[in-house]
Amino acid sequence: MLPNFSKIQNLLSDRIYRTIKEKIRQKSGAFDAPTVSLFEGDSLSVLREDGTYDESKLSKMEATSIIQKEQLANPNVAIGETIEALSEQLANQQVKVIIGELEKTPNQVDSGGKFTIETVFEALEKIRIDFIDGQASMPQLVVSPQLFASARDIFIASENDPEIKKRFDELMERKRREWLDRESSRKLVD
Amino acid sequence: MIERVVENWLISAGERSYQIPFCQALLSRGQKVLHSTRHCAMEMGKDIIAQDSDGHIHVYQLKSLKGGRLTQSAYRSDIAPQLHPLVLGKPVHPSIPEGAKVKAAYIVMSGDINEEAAREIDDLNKTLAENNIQTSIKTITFGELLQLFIQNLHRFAPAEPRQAKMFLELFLADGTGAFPKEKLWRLLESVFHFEKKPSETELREALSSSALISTLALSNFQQNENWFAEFEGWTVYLVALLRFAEAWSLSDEEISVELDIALAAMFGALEGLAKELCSRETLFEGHALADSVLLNFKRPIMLGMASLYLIWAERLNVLPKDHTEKLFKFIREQYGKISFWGESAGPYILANLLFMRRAGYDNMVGKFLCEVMDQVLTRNGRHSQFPMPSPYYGFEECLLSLAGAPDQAIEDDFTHSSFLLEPILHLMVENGMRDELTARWAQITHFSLRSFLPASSYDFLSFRAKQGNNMTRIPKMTESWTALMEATSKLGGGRKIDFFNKHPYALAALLVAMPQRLNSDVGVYLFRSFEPPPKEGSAS
Repeated sequence: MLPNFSKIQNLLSDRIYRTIKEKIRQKSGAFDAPTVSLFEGDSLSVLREDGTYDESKLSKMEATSIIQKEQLANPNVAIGETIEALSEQLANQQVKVIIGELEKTPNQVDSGGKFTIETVFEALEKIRIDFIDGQASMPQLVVSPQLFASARDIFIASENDPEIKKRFDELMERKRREWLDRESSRKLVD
Repeated sequence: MIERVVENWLISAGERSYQIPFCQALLSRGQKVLHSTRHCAMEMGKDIIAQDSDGHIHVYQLKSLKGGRLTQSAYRSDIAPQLHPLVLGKPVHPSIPEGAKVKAAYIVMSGDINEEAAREIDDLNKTLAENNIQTSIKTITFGELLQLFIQNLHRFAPAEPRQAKMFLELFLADGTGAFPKEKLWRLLESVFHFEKKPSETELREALSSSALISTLALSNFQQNENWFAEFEGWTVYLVALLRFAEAWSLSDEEISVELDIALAAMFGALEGLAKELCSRETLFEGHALADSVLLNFKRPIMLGMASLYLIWAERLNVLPKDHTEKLFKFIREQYGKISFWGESAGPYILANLLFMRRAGYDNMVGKFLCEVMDQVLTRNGRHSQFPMPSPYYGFEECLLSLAGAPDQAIEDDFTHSSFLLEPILHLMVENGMRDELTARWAQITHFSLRSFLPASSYDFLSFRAKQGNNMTRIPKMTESWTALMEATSKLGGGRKIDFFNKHPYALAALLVAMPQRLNSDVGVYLFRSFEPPPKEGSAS
């Protein structure tokens, strides 16, 4: 065999896979959700504060990308392409799961395939916003590639629209009051 | 390969090292072990007392010769004074049934016997026969002992390359660090794996092999008197036994000797650690300078182990007067100096709470519960830089990650998430700490209360359960004390493993080796199993 140095190879491959994993997490739409490892069991459940309970079996999410030997002449490009391919596949799967879960809740906004500022307001009305250290903890917005350009244009246009800004400020003020009410309800009673 | 390993081990083994596999070997030969000494002051000259199928008693005196020879002078000074009364007079020992006769007294040695000593034993046996005394003295030397150990091992020896590697890694470990318990678990899992219910012979062979494999895996740790490692190793063995029994519906009676052997080994290790804690001038171990950085993180372990020893010894009614007070003092000295490395510290905290409860330190129970809850709320709160990892991460993993060791980072997010918070919450409710919980409720509601609920007792006894639910409970923002009390009152009855009802301290020990099994139900169960002593003047 040709000279081989497996110790450093193992270290490098471990680092490469860690980098790929982290980049995919950032790009694939894992959003701001915290990462939690599961070490055992076959199901997940949540008992919410309102008493609702959901249980689901664990399911596998997987993606495939093959790096051809010829591509290794330029490993950085090969790794970049792999990250793109895997994150797209995983993002699609994750969005499907999220949409599936959302369909079970009343938190849906149907904008008829168009993205408008009304869609944004309607969505914000439906969700809970917390204020951490005085700042609103705003949700992450994920749009499909098809709607990305129009969504970006709408946000740029809205920034200079005093009417929309006023509506937004009023909404946030209401959300702040709701948050204060929520915070003051955190107590142990008889 | 396995024969060489056993041979190498036996050459250097002390009596304590080969006592457990020797008991197992006797069991596989159809003898019932009535007594196996803990090598303490109550030895009474007999290491092992067994009864054969005809009801005859066999007494075994173990002697470590490290591959050398038993000389006549060693026989006369060390062995004869203990064995002769047994064969010449009526045997007196609590475990020997009334009227039972000693058929033979054996000198079991990890070496050979020289000619003079052998002749002295022969002469004594002739005298016994001439006087119509039915008892004789026999010897089991190195070769026979080796044969006895390996005869049952072939079928279950780690043969598959990965298992053999794992076994050798354990056997060759220097024995001064943490015990790689998951490796032993995997080895025992393969010994105890059967496609269909094992026959009586298979059962005995598997049990005998598992004890020897555990002994070999722990040999260097035992030689170094690495008590904590030894304790964890024998606890893994106990849990593997219980899981095997659960899988094939074996009753505790069917494996009672094995369970007793495991419990004795665990307690022996705890006792060793307790004695060492009492005699130590400093608590540093290994590289003192480096260990000084770790000391406060190690304190919960020492505190928990000392506590577990005390509650266990109290149950067995063997609390030694000479070091009980010293241990109480040691425990009191640790408070205010401890740091938690992660949520796998939970079982040590619980053991200490159980001790304080039994010792009647009511105020300290409440104070410690508050201290632990505040640690969780702060360390896993929003602004914490070093949240406590979940119980699935052990001492070394947590501290390597905390120290920023390359490629050791724990990537999970533990902010506002805790496995320990819910059990602590319920223990506070059980302890009637309403005011303390009211003061902390707003903070608690920001947390996800996580737990793992194994699907069955078999899963509960698995190092990593295949079936079970990863549960997340979001506390109600406005909660009522009455509802909390009701929820707590329903806890504590979920674990239907009868063995733990008889030996609740063994459940506390299981949690030390498998901290992921600590949940509210188990925590409350143990809390109730160690009730405070009745107050002076109260009706008993």
